[in-house]
Amino acid sequence: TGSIVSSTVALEEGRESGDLQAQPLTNSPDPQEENKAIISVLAISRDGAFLATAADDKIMKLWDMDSWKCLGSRTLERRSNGLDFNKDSSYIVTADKFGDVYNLPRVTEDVVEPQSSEKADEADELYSKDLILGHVSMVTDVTLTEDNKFVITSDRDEHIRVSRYPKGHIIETYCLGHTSFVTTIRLLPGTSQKYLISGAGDATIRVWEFLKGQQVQVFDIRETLGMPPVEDDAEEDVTVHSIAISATNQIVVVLERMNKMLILNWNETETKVELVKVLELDGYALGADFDHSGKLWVSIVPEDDADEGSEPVKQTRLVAVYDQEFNLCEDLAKYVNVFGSKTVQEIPELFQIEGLRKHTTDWRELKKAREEREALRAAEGPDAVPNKKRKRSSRRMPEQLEQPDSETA
Amino acid sequence: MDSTVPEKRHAEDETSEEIRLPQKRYFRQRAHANVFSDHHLDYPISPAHMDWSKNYPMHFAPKDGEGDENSVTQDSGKKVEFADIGCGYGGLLVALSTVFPDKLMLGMEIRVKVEEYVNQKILALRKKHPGSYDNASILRMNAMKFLPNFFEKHQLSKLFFLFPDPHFKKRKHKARIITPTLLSEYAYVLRPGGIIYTISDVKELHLWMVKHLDAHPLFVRIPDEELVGDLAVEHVRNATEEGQKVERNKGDKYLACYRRITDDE
Repeated sequence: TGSIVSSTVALEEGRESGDLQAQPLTNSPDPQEENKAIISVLAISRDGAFLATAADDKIMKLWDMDSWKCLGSRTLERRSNGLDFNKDSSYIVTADKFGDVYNLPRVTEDVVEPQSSEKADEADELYSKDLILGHVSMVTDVTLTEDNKFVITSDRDEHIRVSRYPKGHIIETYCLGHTSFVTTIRLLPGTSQKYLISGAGDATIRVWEFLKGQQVQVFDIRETLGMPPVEDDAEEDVTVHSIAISATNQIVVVLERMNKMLILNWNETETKVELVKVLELDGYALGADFDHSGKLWVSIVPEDDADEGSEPVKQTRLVAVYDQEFNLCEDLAKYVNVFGSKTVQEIPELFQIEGLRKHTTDWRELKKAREEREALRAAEGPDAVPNKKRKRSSRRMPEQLEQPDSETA
Repeated sequence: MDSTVPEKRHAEDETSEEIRLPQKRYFRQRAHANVFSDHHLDYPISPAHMDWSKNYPMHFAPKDGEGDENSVTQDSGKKVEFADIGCGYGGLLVALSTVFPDKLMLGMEIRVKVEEYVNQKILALRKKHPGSYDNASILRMNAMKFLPNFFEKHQLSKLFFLFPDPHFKKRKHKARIITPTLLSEYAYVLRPGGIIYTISDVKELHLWMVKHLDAHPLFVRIPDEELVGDLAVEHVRNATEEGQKVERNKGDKYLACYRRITDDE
């Protein structure tokens, strides 16, 4: 499976790069089937037969991966943030921005509309029978365990919840430890099937023995990248966008709006992830995944293009492919890099994850404090105002707010 | 979802801090509360990170080693067992504290001034009756979002929802404190055999709560006959300010109690 970027392009097959001439697209979907809105999530069934896509217009579509025909579509209650298939592809699980998770039978008919709210009120059925669980917070990702006994969901309030599947009303446990919104959760491969990896807006990757709700490792991204610890009142932090795992336990970590990616290795015997490499890119990664041969495909947006209001740029690599030693393979993606896929009128908002961060201080106060700090540093040198290391072990309780300096280094 | 946990009800919105304030301050307060409401609440990363010594100084040694001469040096081994969600002015807590002196109980209230009031009241009661009321305390928090941060799985034996905000408008129904999805979280912190107590003077809300509790696979209605011996029920009806107000106005009180059954039943 190649890496896919959220885009407005119609789906097209990967192509062999023989002689390079612009070819007409042979498998554009029919206008009725085409996605007209930005695709925000996708999932592929375990057997590789189906692709499910969910877009910003709340429409979820099911595609046949051989013929690329659209097999059906369904309007969801709300926009989806995560999709997953069950083992035999009889159900698709979707997690939405409101925090609800639905277990939907795979659609083979055409458009199924959700009940309109007036109708729902009459029937007094505010809750769909497909609703299996809900967070009181935006759900950011969802994944089913290999044996389909559990469904794991992550949310904006730092929770990772493990519930039974399909009886999602039985909560098995929580994996609590992240200090900022969780963005991505993936099951780690291996014989034990006991471990989960997660990424968040707190600049860490964590490994969990998820059925016990136990954190077994915290991988510090800032430290790995040689960055100083984040300041106490920082408005932003390094954020994990997504994680993909290869068949040989290699893990790629896409960092939001950064020109570096992490390659890690999952060491199951020692139950930890280890750094293999920090991969430098000539742009920001939008998404990455491994193919069956272990090559890494990364979709990239040039740094200039990413910033608003800039001129469209000279041709650069849109997709980078790396071999197992992380050398660039120019050939494979040559076609799409030279000819592009489909031109769109405007580039959609590409980096939205920072919007999930919660801010506990008024931005005006923060700005003022930052300006004061800068002025002090400028006047008296960089050591005048030491960086405060954020305490990670706990959150402050109300009484301690009165003496903010007592516990900072 | 920025829902708060109020006790007082009104036809409009959730944050009920304003009901006690004059109109003008309502708007200023309200804007402030909407932006920061659940973000200014502190909560521990997990139950293991929580330092309960500030709430129950006689039962928990301070985690950071900073105590005074009155602090205990060792945890009593007890954990919070009763939780009153939206406890208001603390009437139930004060009543139950002496009925169940060996159980730790916690009220949760999102309104700042109300929580301060209850805190002062409990501290005063502890001074006045040495040895009593050490088992009751209050916490300012959003119970809809962060119960799993404070309580371990199956930790609680009683959960109270007394006269919750009815959220009359249809589009606000999903902000009610009892919903199918939230019930699963309550079932997580409540042990099998534990009891949920609900009471309201608003019949429609009572019927809503009953409907969703009936529908949830982990809760089973306790018939009124079985409740006769329950020491908490009488206080659920009468101990709170809201309950007494309903009494004065000769309103009806609709009680519904449910037992949390085991996961595999």
